[in-house]
Amino acid sequence: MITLPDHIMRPLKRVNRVYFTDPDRILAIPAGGELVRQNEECHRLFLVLRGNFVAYRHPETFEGSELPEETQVRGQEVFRAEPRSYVCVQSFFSRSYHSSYHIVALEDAEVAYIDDKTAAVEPEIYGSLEQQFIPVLVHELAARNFRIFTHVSAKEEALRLLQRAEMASTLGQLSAGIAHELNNAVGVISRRTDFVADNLSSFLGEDEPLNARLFRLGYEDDSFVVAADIRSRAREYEREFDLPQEAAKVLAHIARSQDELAKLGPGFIKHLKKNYRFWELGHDMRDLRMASRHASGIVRAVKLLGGGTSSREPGVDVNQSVRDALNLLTNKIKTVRICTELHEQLPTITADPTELVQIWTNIVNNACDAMLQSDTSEPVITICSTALHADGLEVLPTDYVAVTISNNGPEIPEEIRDRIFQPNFTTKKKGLDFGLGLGLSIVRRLVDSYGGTIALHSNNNLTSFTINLPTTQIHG
Amino acid sequence: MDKIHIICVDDQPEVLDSVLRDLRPLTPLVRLEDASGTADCLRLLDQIDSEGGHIAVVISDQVMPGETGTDLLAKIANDRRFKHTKKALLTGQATHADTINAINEGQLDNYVDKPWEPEKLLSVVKRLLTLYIMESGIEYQPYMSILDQKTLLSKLH
Repeated sequence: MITLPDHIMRPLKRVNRVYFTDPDRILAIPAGGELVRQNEECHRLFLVLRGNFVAYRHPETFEGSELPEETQVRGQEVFRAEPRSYVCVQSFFSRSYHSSYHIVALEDAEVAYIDDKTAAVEPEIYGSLEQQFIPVLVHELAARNFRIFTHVSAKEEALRLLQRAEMASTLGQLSAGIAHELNNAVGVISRRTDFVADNLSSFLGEDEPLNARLFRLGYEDDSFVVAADIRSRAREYEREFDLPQEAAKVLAHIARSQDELAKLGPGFIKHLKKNYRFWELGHDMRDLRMASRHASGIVRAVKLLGGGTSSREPGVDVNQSVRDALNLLTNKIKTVRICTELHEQLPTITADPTELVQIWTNIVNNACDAMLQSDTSEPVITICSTALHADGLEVLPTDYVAVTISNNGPEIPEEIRDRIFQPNFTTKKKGLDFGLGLGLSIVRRLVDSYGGTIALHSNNNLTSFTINLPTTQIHG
Repeated sequence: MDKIHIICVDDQPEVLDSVLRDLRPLTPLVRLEDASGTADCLRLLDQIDSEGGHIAVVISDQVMPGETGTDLLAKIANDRRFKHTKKALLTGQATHADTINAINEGQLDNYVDKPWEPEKLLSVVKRLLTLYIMESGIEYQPYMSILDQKTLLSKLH
């Protein structure tokens, strides 16, 4: 019931007392009983005394056809009437005397009514029946307005959520589609690189074995190099062997110490001086191969993230999923120092690697954004994994793998800690990155589905998320 | 003949190799050097300078671990030893603000978008090299074959 100002409420109470207390005009309606049917002739105005009613609107019937039987599907629910609401207001006062709705009692109910024969009480003081009923009309108008307003805002909220979900799902589908196309292209590059390298190597070998050797050395050069080391070694070799700058650099890659230099054998350096380009050719093929592997790794992850055609299987290496996630975020984490302390003898778990990658990428990605947005100096993200063993008690019913991702970014304020895992919660505002506010809600959903836990600790110096995942699936 | 250096800076070795390869037509008249980041480049600058070498052009990536390309270029711009050194940014990731900063703080001479066209990159570097040689008063005759003729003419008149 809507509360209205006193000058309306007092006359309203009088109307209820004067017109709706006559025992001869009180009806009991059992649960499920009909007060009135749609389009039925009805000369009464009801006041609900007890119980709730629901009003349905059935689709307009065609001429000659019947209203649906009670057993058939009901029409759309239009409103509910609770005690102290008036029903059939419109048909009564418009004198159409036909109900627009099909009104049914939800429980055993009681109504009082007046009809078109009811005479005005004390008209000399309070005026005609219509005049006396103005407060009823005002009340009903206000109530209906309120009902519509509530409906509209609920609908808008639902629509907003739907749009967000649709946006996320469109992005997912779109990226899965692109990833699928790229996958084929990258696959061709990757495969052909291997073929070309093998063929080239044997062609070169037929002609001059040393060239094939240089090519192989370039192709198989897989060590991590420090630019400054190579540079200083190349300078030494350049002077020592009177090599062109490029050739000296190649030699610096091949021979990292005097020992390695001695092993190359006589004539190698002399040959290298003129033919260093064969090493470069091999190195180019190596770069091609590495770039295509990198691309296919990213494509695979994007495809999995967008596609969701996954299954949980035993034997999944959590450390590998962490590395996959970091691989996917290569570009994002460039300006952040990443420390990993991954436990070597981590037990494998029953999981879907994609979902694990999704968990880590979302947390790391969020940490990066938080630190960049707050201009954290010397940002560091530390990821460590450990094994937790079952304690035979309730606390740890099975073995767990724990992954802690911590950063030295800003503290997560106490008051939002509960909310960060809710969908549509985001603090990301600036820059090209747009926050869908779905990241951590996905993390929560995934971790919950594994029967795992998330612990969040945050202060000025350190914010850490610890994810515990059971090594075997917990059911129930 | 003076030793003239061109330095390329990028944290990705494959990208760095590609840039060096594209600029190889300039060798052996100039030396091509590579650095893996801002700190590495600053060390290299000190070393070359202490050996009396010239640094004609620095071409840097923008997004790298540690300091950005813009930071590096700003440091070079504020160093008296390198007042004639030409500075170029080679990047696909600089934001609008980065670019403005690079121009104002780093006194950027050129901006090349990634992925780049080798011919375009080479002609940009030739032009910057020509400017450096003319502005720092180095005898230009030995370098004629790798200089940008139009820039050379405009500086001669």
